Amino acid sequence: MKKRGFEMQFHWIFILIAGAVILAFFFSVVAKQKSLSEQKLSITLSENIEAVFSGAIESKGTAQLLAMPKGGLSFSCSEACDCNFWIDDKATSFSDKILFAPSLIEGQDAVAWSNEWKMPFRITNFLYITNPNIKYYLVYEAGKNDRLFDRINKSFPPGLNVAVLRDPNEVEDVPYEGYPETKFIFLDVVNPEINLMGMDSDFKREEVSAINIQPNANSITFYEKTPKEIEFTSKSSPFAGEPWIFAAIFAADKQMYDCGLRAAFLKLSHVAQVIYGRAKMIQANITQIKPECTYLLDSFDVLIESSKSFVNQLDFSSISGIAQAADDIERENKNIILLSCPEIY
Amino acid sequence: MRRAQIKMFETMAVLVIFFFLLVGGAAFYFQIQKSSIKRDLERQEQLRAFQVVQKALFLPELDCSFVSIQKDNCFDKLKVINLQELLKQEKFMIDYFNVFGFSEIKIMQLYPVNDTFSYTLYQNIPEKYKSVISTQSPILLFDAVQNRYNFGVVEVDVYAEEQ
Amino acid sequence: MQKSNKSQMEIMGLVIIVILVAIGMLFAVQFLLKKPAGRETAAVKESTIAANFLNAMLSTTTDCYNRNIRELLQDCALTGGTTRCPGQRNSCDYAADQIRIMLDKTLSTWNKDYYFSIKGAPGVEAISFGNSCPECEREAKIHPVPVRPGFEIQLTLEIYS
Repeated sequence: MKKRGFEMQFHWIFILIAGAVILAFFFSVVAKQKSLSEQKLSITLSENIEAVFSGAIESKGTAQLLAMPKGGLSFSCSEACDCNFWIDDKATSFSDKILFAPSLIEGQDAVAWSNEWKMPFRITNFLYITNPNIKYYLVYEAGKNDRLFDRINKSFPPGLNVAVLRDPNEVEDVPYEGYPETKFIFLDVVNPEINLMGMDSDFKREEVSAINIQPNANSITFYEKTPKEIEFTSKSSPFAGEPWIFAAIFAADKQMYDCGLRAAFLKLSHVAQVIYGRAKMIQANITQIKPECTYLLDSFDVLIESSKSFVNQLDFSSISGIAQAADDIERENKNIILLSCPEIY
Repeated sequence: MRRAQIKMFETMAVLVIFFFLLVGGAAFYFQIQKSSIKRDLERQEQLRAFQVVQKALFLPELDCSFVSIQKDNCFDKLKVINLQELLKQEKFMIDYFNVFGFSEIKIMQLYPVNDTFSYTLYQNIPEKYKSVISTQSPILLFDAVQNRYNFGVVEVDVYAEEQ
Repeated sequence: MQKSNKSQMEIMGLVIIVILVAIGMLFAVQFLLKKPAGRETAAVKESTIAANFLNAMLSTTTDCYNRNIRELLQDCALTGGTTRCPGQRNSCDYAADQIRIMLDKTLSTWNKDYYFSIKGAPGVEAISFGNSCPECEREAKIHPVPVRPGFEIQLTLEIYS
């Protein structure tokens, strides 16, 4: 009788152990498959989103809605300008695209807006990505910077969360509304740090950043908040044209903006070299047919050399030289058109 | 005793068949996964090839623009010649690798037939590649000196490097 | 009683086998019916080729008073081809010849089956190339060309797979 009793117990223990081993085996297979499938999905999603970005960036001047993956998209640029967007753990490089986006976009569909940069000929398109989860405040002194405000406010694509403050002092009265990220865009405001330091204490633990656009100095100052404090560090970068204002508005931080600057000015030097070569070939071929077509191309040397050195240094002093060279080329192109000669660009 | 032995053999037989079925099922499943992954890879390669073609068609270094208005689906012949010369320099090739990757881009004029214009704009073929996707697209070729549009084709071969 | 249990067990075994076979067949059918990956992108490619061909062809300058194909077709549609082009051909015949050259050097050379046609005016409706295949799988692009306000012709290019 006792032996039978023992046998029963061993029988059940054996069933339990064998059952547990089999179940553990199957659970581990399922878990492994799940993780593999998620990785495969991230890779497919990254490739598809990259293709969507490539298409969006070519449709200049258009804004479109992009569906976001469940975990959202994050964007970052390293100091070496290794810029990537991330879906979960999968990083995909921006490669040749010049993208400006906040550090994290999640929840609602993103708005992708492409904008052309000319200097004075078309260099490239920028792609700005954001979504309504980010609150933008346009801050300016009414009566002082109305033109700049009008230009920027009218250009925003629909679907964004933009509020206007007509007095910088109103920044201190802005309540925290629960947005994952808040960005203040100051339009040529004097000492915006004072206004930022006085903001609602509810913003202490939240993502807040700001920029101050100073058109006369061709400069944009980026303000980045110290975590858990209402304190800001500031650094400035140059800008060259309206597309750069929007680049600063939508960029996650100064690093992403600077990396975009480098990539864009490198592209400028390439395009300028091609157009310069083309203009010289036209000059060589057209002189006999139309002797009145003479091309003054000295400004191209300045444009090409200055943009090449700007890529390495990002110094403010080069910008005015580049802008002047671009204006000279534009003027020369208009003169050439008036003479019914083939255009420079 | 004999009954117990028969029972044991029965249990073992059940287990053997069970594991046969399990292995068979797993092999079938992994075969399907393999072909699904292969299909996905092919699709991604096609997508990438299409992206390279689109990039080539919209490149500011090649486009036809008039008073800053861009004409679609058009390359300026003089820009093609200049960019092709620049791309012979190593530094340019490195910069444009980000744009075109491992590919070959040829531009050929087909009409008027008596005017030959044929350039290999970009060529970067890997030593070992497992496939090549070829895409042709009709384009306009603008001659700035004569102010006329000719008909041509851009041929883009995108190579999938062997890992 | 034992016989009844045994037969029940056998039926259970059969049921499990049937379920397994059904699941296996489901996988196999799904696998067989899926279109190959290349077919989807080939369709997009053909659609793009058709659109790009029509765009490029219409803007191509010809030796007929440096008119482009679009202008020659407009003249053909409006006047029946009064403009005299090189080789003593009217604008309709000349445009047709140039279009044929471009089609031969592209779609024919790439071994693609196609059908090109124009609708909207008697003069241009005579211009067609290739063989129409209404029941074939195809990618088609239609390009309208205005001749004058309220009057347009339509160019259609179908590329068959």
